[in-house]
Amino acid sequence: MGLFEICQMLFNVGGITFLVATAFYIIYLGSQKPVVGYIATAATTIGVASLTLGLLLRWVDAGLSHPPFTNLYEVLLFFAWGIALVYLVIEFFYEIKIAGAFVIPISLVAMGIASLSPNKEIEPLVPALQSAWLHFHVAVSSVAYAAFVVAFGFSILYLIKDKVRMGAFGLTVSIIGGFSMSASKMSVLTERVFRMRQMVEEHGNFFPVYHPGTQIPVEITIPDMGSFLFLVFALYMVTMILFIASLVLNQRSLTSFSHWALVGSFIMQTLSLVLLMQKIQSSPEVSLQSNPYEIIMFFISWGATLVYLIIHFTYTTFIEALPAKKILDNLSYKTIMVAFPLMTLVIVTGAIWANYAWGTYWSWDPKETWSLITWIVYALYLHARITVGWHGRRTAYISIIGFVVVLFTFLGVNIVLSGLHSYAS
Amino acid sequence: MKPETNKTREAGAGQTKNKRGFFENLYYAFNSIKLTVSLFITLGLVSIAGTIIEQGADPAKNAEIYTDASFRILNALGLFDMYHTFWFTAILLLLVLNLIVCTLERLPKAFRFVGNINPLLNEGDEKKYPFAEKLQVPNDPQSEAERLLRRYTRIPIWVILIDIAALASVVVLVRTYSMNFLEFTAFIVIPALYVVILNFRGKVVRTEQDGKVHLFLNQWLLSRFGVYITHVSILFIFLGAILGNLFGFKGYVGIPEGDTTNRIYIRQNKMIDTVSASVRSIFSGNKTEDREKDPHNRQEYMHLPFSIRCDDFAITYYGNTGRPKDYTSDLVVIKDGQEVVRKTIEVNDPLIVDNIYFYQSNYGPTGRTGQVVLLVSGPGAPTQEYRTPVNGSFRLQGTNTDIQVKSFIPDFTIVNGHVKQRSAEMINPAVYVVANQGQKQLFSGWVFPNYPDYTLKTDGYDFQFIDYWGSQYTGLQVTYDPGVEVVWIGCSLMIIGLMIAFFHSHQRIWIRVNGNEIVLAGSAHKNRMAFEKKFNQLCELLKQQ
Repeated sequence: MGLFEICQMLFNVGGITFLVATAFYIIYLGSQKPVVGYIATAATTIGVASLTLGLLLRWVDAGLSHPPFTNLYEVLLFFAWGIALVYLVIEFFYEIKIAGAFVIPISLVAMGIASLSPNKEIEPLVPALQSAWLHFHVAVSSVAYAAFVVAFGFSILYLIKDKVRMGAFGLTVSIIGGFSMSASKMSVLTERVFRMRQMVEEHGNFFPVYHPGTQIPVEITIPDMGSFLFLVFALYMVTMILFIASLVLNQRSLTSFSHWALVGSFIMQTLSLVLLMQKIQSSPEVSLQSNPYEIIMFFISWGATLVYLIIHFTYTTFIEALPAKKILDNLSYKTIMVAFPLMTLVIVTGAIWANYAWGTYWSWDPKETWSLITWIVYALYLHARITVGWHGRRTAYISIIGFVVVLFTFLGVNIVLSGLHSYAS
Repeated sequence: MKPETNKTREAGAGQTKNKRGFFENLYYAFNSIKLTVSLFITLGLVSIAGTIIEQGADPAKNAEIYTDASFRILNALGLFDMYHTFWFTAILLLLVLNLIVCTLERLPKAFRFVGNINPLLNEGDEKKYPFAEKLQVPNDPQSEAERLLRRYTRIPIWVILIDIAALASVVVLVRTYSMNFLEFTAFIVIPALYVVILNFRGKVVRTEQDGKVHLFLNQWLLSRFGVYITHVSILFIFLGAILGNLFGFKGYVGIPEGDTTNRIYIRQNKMIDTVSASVRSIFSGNKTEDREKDPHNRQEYMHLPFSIRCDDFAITYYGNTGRPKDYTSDLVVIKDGQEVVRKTIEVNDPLIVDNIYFYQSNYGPTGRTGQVVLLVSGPGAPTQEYRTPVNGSFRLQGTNTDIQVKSFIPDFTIVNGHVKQRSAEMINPAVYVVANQGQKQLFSGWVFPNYPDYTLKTDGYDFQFIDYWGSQYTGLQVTYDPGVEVVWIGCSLMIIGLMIAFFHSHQRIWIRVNGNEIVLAGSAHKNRMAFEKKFNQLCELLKQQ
């Protein structure tokens, strides 16, 4: 067994332990038994340890000059590792196990998306990436982004502890879900089929296949998935209408229907995700790169629905188990206070590197601009908190907006927008 | 004293309300956090717009994407080159003014606060501070309290480790890189200053008054000023950007292999050019007419005081994959007919001449036919370099053998038994050579630099393909930015400003000892929770005496 296979095995161990940890953290939410919590923490620790070792070995395998964060696959692994590590440190110092049910699933999803990645091989560096700044820039950015994600977790917990109406949460989740389904493809809604673009590999990159002489991509249908997704969409719509109705009419009974509709949509989503994974694993002509944007949206809506349902069904024990509002608010603030200077460092190291590679420290390319937008959102958070004196819900909302911006900066820009950074994707 | 000051303050307030002049009003309009918040939001939103609408795109492409009406509207608003419009600059300028006024308003207050810190904890003062405690300590409370307070001022081991690491990295950096004064400030002095600050742990002040002993620990006072360091750093960054835009230039030059030039084309920008031309004319008399217009493509160009020759441009690939490994150009700087500097540049490693940077940017075909460069040896002919165009030939030195280069394929491949050109890039180059003696053909075959095993083999002859030279140009980005170091100083200040502001908090602990009775008071301007722990721990330790 070569070094590469050992790394793959270690990453798989990491993925499985995160899955176990997620399950136990969720059980811990409901049961509050210390043993369950210990198992969850132990699993996370094993996962982080094996990921650390795996990433280090991959670094050795690639030659020491080439650290393991130079393509999307490696960056996702690194991101998952960073989130779990930051979380473990916070859990150790603040003894707050309950946040694990929210933070570790994000690591798990990152690992999941990484495992679907078509290029797992170690790729040699293109000229623009051959710089010592690469290591520093990417390492700091992963930690900074991970810290922002953890702050987001605390903000959500704060809102729940603060008894924000769960209906509003549910509504948000169903809107995200409905949006991601309709964004996927109209064919799901009109013909009830889900198609993926056929891809062909060339020099480690994947390109869509077109019908000869046209710009129409060749597409492959995944059987059954279309009707599942149609049901998912319909159930989201039902949930949305019921939530709105219950909020407007103030009828509590309506919300319980909507929860069961969400459960149904969650089961359907899980089934279709299983179908999707099977298809990607079994056939070489479709890959994560076929419809990357849609697949990430699927994962996000699936995760959001799962988390919402967990909170809903364990609501009373959950609220009691959460630390005091003040502590949650403060934890989120403190995490952002650490993450913000790191984010500044990310932008500065990026600027220095850009100056050596492209001859200008700032060129307003989309990745740069979005990292500046992230910086502005959190600068806003800090000014609102320190100068204006906002705290609690209002700053929690800013932190949530910040999280969305971070996600877009981290993944969205590379997928949706093009620019100088597309060198790196 | 007190009532009087109150009176004057009130009178002052009344005056400002009634008789504020226009400029005073304007000044106070900028002293507003609401303005800051709205500017942040505006800047965020327009930046999002700037990433959705492609900036600096080809007008023809834009005309394809947008309808006539929306194209005209977006164009009028400058949204196709948003970051260089007057209104975008105006937003940044407002932010800077906002920041300056807020800092001018708050900084004196911070200084006043520091000046008014009282090292004494007078009777009843403890009620003013968020943390207070009264204890009875039987044995020698004063020296015990002093000992415990002094413990906080000791330099911890992790700071000593950081000191050593910082010293080592300063030595390494200084010996590895040659830096000018400003770069040295940005990358060495300012970060080192932070490490020095880490070693200042405050001190314990002991005062005796009316038979009572007052102890006062004042730590991380500087933390209150971190925010101002950060604000000033933003001014530095803007100053650097302005300097770069006014006195620097960004240009481009394409040099074919073997050519020499000193003419570079300037990247134009209407607004910046108008402003910077007038500013430069103020500073350098009327000598801005170093820029001329090319009659063919109407692009502005200028002449450098030296010339650049490109000896070679090359791409190397990772194996046969077509994944580029390096783009390199061999450049020679010529001043007054003399070769001054030679450097092989690549991406991430520019050539620097008189603070003008030449970056490997792109490459392309010149349309000229190139020359095949071969290293050949044969019976009676020592190894030597020969150059010839395709279909040309040369005679091996000292023999009567003629070598003819029949064809050159940049990316050789075989499809169904036929030789094909896979791409125009030199991923797998190959040349076909024929050797003749008079009318008689000796041998012929392919020469592959990447596959020596498949290269033709004959007794005594050896062929090595070196390059297909002269058909490509190297594209260099040329930048002169006198403001870049100022930007680096700003960046460096910003990071340490943020670290001072966020990683530390100004903590104060007062202790008043009166016989066996001890009164403690404490305050922290940030991270109260951590301070509470520290304060309670101190109380516990004193109680245990």
